[in-house]
Formats: sequence, structure tokens, C-alpha cells
Amino acid sequence: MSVLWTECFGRPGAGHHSVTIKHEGGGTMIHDQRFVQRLETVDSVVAVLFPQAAEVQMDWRAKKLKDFIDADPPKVRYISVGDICNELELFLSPRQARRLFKESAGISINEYARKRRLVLAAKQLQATDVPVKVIATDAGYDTQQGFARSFYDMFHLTPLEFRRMWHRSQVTA
Amino acid sequence: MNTNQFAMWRSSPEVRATYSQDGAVLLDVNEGLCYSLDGVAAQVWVTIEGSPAGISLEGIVDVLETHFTVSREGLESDASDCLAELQLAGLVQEKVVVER
Repeated sequence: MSVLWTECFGRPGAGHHSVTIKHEGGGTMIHDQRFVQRLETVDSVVAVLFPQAAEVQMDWRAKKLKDFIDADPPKVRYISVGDICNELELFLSPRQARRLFKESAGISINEYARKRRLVLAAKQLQATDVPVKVIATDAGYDTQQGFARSFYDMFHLTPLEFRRMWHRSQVTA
Repeated sequence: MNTNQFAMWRSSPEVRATYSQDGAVLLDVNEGLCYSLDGVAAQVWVTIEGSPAGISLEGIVDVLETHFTVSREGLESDASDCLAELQLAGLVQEKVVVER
């Protein structure tokens, strides 16, 4: 298999398996799988847009920080990195923790927490009829506008469009 | 798959794209459907989306050639298959232009 071809078409961590084979000495290619795949859940959309760093490669302290954020994403908004390190008994300064997390996860701790909050909000929008204003507050946003802006940056839909889309999806199904 | 060489391809309205490091996610707001695209399909999509008047298979392959070091025949075949899948999902529309 051509290395270049594999780099282009069969990247690891793509969330699906699009494997194309180039025969040795020829230009023929065989598509084992599809270019376009249906995503049926918010989780699957998030997994493609927001791939998680491979946990096996993560520093164990960064992993603990990540697990802390995952357990309660909005909480991180109201607690400092230093306090999280103390609570987890990591014996790291806030600066060390931030650097370690970014090196390990490839994203800053604040950005990771922000994305996790938006993912949580997306799931709420899809699964409930809770008003957007309440979801914005739950996600740690002071204003609905700020929430809508961040949400749009991530999904290219407003929160209401996102909710409507999933509701249509349920009707179609 | 044989794609009509005179066909012009356009993205369907109400489809929003969000790009990731490995491809893209397309959200069809009207139909309430979501799709993931791999790297090649995402490049095909960007090319079509950037051509509101429509673009031919040849035009798409011209763009792909600048991104991937693969034979033109291979790219043509892939682009054709990819367009077929995008069309099947209702994400792109084909307009056949009759040459006079």
C-alpha cells in the first residue's frame, strides 16, 4: 500500500475506516469502505469533531485531570486548576498542570473544559426540551449570546437549529 | 461508478459543514441527518461548496490533484465514487449540462 495514499485516506483516529488500497505496480485502487458515513447520535458527531487523545499515551496526572473535567464539566468553571490539583493530590503547580495537560492532551485545560461543557449542552439540547437559556447557564455561560457563539463555533449551527435538526431526525426515523 | 462528465455538481442548500482534523461533519438541517466525511470527501465537499455555480468532475479532480499525490485516474475514480455517495445522501445535486 502506498504510504502517501495511506496518509491521505487511511489516517488513524479518523473515527471510521476508510481504507483504500493501491496495488503494487499499478494505479488501481479498491475502496473497502465508504467516503460518507451516517452519524446517528450526538456522541458520534462529537467523536468526529472532537477526537479524544489516546488515553494510553496520556500522562497519568493529565488523565486524572481529564477524568475530573469529564465527570462534571461545568464545575471546572468555578474551581481553579490549583484547587483541582489539590483535590486530586497531584502535587503540581497550576502552571505545571496546565503545561502537562496541554502536552498530553494536545489542547489547553480551559479549552478542553469549554468543549466538554458544549458537548454536554449539545446532548441536553438533543435529549430534552430544557430552555436554551437554562442549558447555557448549566454549561457555565453568563449569557445566552455567549453560549450561542461558542456553540456555533463548534457545530456551525445555533443551539435552536441543532435541537430542531435532532428533532427532525427523530421524526424521520 | 460512471459519473456524467458534463454534470455540474452543487452542494444542497441547508447543509452545514464543520471541519475536523481528519475530515468533516455535514449537518443536513432540513432532513435532520448528520454525516461524517473522510479527508478526501471533505476536500471534494470544500471544492463543491466553493463553487456556487457548480463544478464538474474534472474541475474537482483538478483541485484534488493539488492536494494528493496520486494518479489522475485514481483521483477521478475516487471523486466519482465520492460524488455518488454524496448524491445518495442528498448532500449534493447534479445538474447535467447539454453541450450544443
